[in-house]
Amino acid sequence: MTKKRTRIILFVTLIFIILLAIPSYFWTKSNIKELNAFYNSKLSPVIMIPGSSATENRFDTLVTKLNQHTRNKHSLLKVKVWNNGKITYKGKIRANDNEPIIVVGFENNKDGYSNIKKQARMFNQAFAALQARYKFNNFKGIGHSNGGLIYTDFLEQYFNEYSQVEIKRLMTIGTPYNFDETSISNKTEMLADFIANRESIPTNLTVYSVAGTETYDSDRLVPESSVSAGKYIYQKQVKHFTEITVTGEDAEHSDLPQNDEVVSLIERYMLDNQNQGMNRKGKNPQDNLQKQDKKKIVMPVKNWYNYLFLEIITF
Amino acid sequence: MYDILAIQNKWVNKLVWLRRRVIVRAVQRTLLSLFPFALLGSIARVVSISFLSDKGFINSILAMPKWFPDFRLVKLLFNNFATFTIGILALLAAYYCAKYTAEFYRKDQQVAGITGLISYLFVCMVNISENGDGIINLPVDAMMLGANGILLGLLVGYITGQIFRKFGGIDLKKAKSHSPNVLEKAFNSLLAIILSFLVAIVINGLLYLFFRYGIYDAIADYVTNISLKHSNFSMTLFGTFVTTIFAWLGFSGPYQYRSFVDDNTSVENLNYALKYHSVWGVPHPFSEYSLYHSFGTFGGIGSILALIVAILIVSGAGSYRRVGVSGLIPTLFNSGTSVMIGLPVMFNPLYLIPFILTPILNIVIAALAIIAHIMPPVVYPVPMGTPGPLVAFIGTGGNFVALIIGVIVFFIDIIVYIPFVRLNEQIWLKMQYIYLQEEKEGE
Repeated sequence: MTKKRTRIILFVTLIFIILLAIPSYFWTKSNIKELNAFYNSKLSPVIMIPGSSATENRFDTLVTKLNQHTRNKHSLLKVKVWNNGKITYKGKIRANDNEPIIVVGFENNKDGYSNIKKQARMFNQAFAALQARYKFNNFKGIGHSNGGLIYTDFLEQYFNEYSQVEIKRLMTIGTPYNFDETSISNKTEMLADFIANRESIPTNLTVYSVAGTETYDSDRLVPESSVSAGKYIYQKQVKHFTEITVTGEDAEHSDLPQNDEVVSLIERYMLDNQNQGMNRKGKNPQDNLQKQDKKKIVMPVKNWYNYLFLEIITF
Repeated sequence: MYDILAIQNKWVNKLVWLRRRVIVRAVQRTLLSLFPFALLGSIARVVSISFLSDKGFINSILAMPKWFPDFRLVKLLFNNFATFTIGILALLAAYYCAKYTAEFYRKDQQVAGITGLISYLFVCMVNISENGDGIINLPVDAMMLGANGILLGLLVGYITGQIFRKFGGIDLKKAKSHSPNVLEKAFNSLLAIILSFLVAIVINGLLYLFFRYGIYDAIADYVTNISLKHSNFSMTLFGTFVTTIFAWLGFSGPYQYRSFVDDNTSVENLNYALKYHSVWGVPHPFSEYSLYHSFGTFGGIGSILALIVAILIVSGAGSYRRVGVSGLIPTLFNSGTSVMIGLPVMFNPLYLIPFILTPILNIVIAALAIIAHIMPPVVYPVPMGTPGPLVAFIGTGGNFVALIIGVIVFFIDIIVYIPFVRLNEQIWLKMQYIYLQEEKEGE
């Protein structure tokens, strides 16, 4: 190999690097912009999932009631996931709304464990799309009836993919963790699975499980012991687990989302900006948020792998 | 005035003497035999990670996924290619070293080679649970078979070779007029084979004891922890030194396999920069990511790239140049294995000094630049498999001063390597001369 050939090779390599440097420059600029958007995003939506036989319109009354008590109305975005994977949207999120409400409904809204698993997968599709579109780095979840089951399955099976998105709080309302079973010694297959996989649930989560009782032990559809079975899943796994029983007017299963007590529970425990002066630390809710920001380790979601820097084997 | 020529001559002679020891020659030849596998393996690995990975370097900056339909399968193939070559490098090293050592003593090298290979398997033995299904499940620690175990592999090979020297049956050259047939050869070697296996099992036992009591883990954890948690300059310096010297010995050091997301200091830096929209004033400006990965490995570990360029500029010996050129692309993408094995740089005391010195020099210069505020610390993440020279540029968000400093640092590395390359040439020439003389005398 002559010296001349060597010089040519060196020169070509140099040109090669320079050629690579140009698109690299543009890539890093746009990458930083995306990182900025994600990190500085103040968006913290509330994502709701309705129960079986319900649609994405299920929470309309609830949202109206919530918006009656506040000056900054929450936008309402309704998402529907069809069986063929298509996702349609109704409504939109206002530009300066930091706490919009997103409802995710499914074409297949039937009951039963196998359907719940399918719905969890569909929810994951919707979640991925929402994440990519709105780039939020944290959210709150509310599930009514089977919606809570879908959330549980989602958290156990799919949520770990989104390693840097945080779910701050979860509320399940009238959720039949053990379906119709009244006795905890008869665990349904679903409950057994949920308990077996509980360690995948994020540990810094705060969970509220709301049970309604029209009779002494059921809301006319879901036995109270079935809702209570949720403790075997969440207790001692998540940071806080609180069970709340709601009685009186509108404590029947399908009335629960509009129940005034439930509405005020949501306002008090789930929403960021509507804490009527009483939150855990006794300070302004905004301060609470910023403190959490500082500790957060933030990276974009599906793209986190994008930014992995790994030294290739030097061996 | 020193007589430079005399001093140089003294060193050349010393190194030549060292080079002529059997173990050194066996190791040298082993490394050279491993070179083609290491080369092809590195290239395959580079292609798999930088080019075919969904989020790899080439795909990210050229936004390729849209053109190339489904390269998952191709990527798997390339990855496997790398695993079957680099991933069993130590195993092959044991084979070759045993073979060449036996050859020096004129014992049956083929049998010795295979025995060395199997002995290494014994050394790497671990307890593995039953797992039927017709797949071959070797009860060995896969990590030790690969490039990280080269030192051990060479050792085991050498020991096997020496066992064959003492117990390896008839001397091939002194055999009777008819050359022994294969069966005779096999029986001749039985004793040596059994002894090699026994020694290997003993080594395995010793290793087990060493690891079992957690000594190695404790030390490794300690070193990794202090080098990651304290990210001030002296720690980074220390980490660089340890990682580089381990690499020279064929192990991986604390800074070797790092993921941005796992590294707290890098993420804290990133959060700070995103929050305050400025890279100046990040909490850890001298972190491992900012200095070592961006400048310390500008040309790969130990700045091998600079060595290659130095060789291409200086070297008259064609073989070195060929190794350099063929190793150019993988080294560009941070895979310097092939060159480390092919020259060799590994275990080569000649290159030890520049190998360790250049990364340290690099990070010192980078740190000075950061202190002087002419260049920001490297804070932003880069795609997987980014070539060393571009890491600082991309990681500072396209800062041209970083690029220039990188280039300056690279030139300095080349200048540091050049005298060692020349020294190497001299030794090589002298060795050629000695071999020629030996051949003449042999006749």
